[in-house]
Amino acid sequence: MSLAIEINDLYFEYEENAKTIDGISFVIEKGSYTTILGHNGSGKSTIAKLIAGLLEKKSGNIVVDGIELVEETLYEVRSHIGIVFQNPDNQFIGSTVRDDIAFGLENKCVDPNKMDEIINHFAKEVNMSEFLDHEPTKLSGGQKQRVAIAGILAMAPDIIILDEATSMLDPKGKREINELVSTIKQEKDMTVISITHDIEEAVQSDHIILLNQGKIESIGNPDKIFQNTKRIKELGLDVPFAYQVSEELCKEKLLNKTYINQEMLVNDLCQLYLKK
Amino acid sequence: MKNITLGRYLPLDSIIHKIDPRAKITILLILLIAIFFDAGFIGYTIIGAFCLCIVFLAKLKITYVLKSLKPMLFMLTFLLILNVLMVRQGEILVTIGSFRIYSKAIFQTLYIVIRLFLIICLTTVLTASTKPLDLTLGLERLLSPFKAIGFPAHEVAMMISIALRFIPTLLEETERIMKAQASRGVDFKEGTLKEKISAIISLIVPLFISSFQRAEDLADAMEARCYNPEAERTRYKQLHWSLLDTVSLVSSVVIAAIIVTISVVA
Amino acid sequence: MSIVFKEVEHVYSENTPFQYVALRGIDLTIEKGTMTAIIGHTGSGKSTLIQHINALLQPTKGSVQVEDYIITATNQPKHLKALRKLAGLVFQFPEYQLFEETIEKDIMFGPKNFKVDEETAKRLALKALKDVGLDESYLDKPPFDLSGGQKRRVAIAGILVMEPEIIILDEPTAGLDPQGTYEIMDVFKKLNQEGKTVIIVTHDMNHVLEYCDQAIVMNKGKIDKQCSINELFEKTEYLLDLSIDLPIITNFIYQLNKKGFSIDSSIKDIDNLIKAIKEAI
Repeated sequence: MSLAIEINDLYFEYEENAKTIDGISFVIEKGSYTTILGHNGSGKSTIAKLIAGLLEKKSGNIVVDGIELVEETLYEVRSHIGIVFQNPDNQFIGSTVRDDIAFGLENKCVDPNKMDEIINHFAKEVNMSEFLDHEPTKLSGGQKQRVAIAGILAMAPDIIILDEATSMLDPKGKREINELVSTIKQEKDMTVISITHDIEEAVQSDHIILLNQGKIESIGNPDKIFQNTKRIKELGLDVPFAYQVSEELCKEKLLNKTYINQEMLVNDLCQLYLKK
Repeated sequence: MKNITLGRYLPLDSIIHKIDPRAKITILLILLIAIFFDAGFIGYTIIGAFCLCIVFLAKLKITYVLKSLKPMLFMLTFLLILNVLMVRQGEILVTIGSFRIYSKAIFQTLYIVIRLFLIICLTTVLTASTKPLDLTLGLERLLSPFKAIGFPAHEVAMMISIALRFIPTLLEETERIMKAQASRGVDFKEGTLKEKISAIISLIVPLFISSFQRAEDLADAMEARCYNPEAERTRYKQLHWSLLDTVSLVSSVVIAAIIVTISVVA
Repeated sequence: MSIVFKEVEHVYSENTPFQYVALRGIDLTIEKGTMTAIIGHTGSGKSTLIQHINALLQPTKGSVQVEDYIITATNQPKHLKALRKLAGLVFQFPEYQLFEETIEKDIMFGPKNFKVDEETAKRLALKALKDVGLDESYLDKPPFDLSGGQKRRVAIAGILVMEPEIIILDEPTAGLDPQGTYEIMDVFKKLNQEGKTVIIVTHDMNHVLEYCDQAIVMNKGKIDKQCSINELFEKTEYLLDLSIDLPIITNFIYQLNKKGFSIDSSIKDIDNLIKAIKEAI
């Protein structure tokens, strides 16, 4: 299977000797849904910017869709990626929703006569059609992030990176965005990378890359990553609720395996209850 | 903030609103130049009538425009007094004791006031009938020939439009910071000079810091969306030149020509 | 009694086209020493409500009494400033209010505005810093060198330094990671245990369940309900009707109950949950 992203021996420092990224290597397969997980300060927040060449790496190499990231390929690489950043206000460039989605299209030299159609199409996909002429000050955080996603989808990237895109939103906003990302994942053939510290979001993904202090702690699927609950807690993260409950129930010999998915746990417990 | 009339856009449905911003900016420049030529009483009547026509066509009330003059009232009174004291040409109109007021003094001041009024009329019509972003776009297009000599027309226009987009956001943030500092005992209304300075610093420093962070985040977001100011870009908003624009431009040129001719000939 | 609202109404931009009624007919009492959660959808009036407690806003109708101070539309307590000291309000993302060269100076800013002398201010600043879990070594550092969570703690110290009896927090854990969240909530738990009245506006229902005694539910500018935490979570349908998320544990119980279980929905911790499941099976 081909690779969307390949990172080899990456090193990066914000300041001298402040080893923000201290030797990281990993790959992300095309079409997968990967979460890069870590506490604040683990280095995860710089990865998206390094991949897009917004920060200059100290050493190592980054390959996006087969293109190595160097100064000459900067814009080419960026056209393969779309990043939704954390602060909903600080990535809203246009004066209205319409203008903001158009911004990316302008950068890609799309024919102005075709822009309206594209804008209307993607605004509809993110459920913001009624708000096309609204100014950003009249929108909620969740709505602004939806517009950001529309703007990115309109540029048709292969990879979409959500850089803590929900951390500044209220629960309603978080839900809106997570549902939208789920839909995107199902309907489009895109690689989705989510950078977060939210555990319940992380368990939805196929793979997790767990970071700690600039280094990779472990890589694997959610089941594998959350086995070591003690270590997870040491790293300043939460353990998924379903795992906590099922772990205790295993100790009480009521269950024989642990779960990270709440729905599955509820279903299996109910089956046990009914058998009684 | 809500009482500033100069510079505010009013979403009315007038013929002036429909004119291309490039035409409007050019017309403003042409008429401004014409206004400074001294074409005497007839000249001012002609151009005055033309400007009033424009105000009327823009569906604005004269009283609205007059409000913009209010801040200048003080300066104008001062000017009148100065002229009355300094200018001793023309016929003597009034004698008060040994002090004489000359006709030219009055006329000169009058002409200055008229000029000022006309300038304000026209600029108010321009900003009231043109959305800030359309204005920016118009300016950018007009200045783009200067790109050849290195003038960054596009970048300047982009800066202006981003600044405009963030004004409401910054105002909200200012209010938030003021409340946060008020909760720490800051009184923005009263206090000694030292206290007032301290209050302002506690407002401005956080604003600056968050604005720098904002600028950095925005730059990242723009670049991540493949923004390259030096490369070619298409534009979503298109400006279309129409017959109306040509007619408006031509009539302004004609009026300006008349004024200049009168002032040169007379 | 610490705080009493009597028929409070607040209208923004009265008599303009932008008029907006943020609060209507608010009657509530918050007892001293309680830890109260104020919950409700965005736009329900929570922020407007709390700004009345330290007189940042005045009611357009009705009165607000905070200890011995009474705030109404027309008169303000003459010692408005003293009220800002008595009731400390920490806004959302408070790290945006930091501005001084060093952390010590920033924390001392509050006391200095209340004419506290340099020495006492320094002493109070150090205590406040320790109260939020940071040590002396931070005093000389510039606040901007810190991480987000640390900056937040410094900002909170900047309010705690004034030794308020009432502490009001607007979404104190917004944007923090799990570790940062625990550390901050621990600070408030301790303060409440020391007898301070703590009021938290939050969307995080897990915190409401874990830390608070009572909740005030706001809906479209009115108080929908004021009750104890147990009462609040007994009726899960009520919360769902108001589009308020359930805490993870309550939601889990709700899902189980939907499928046949009948577990007490006011259970707060996993141990009791396990016991209940064990008994059921």
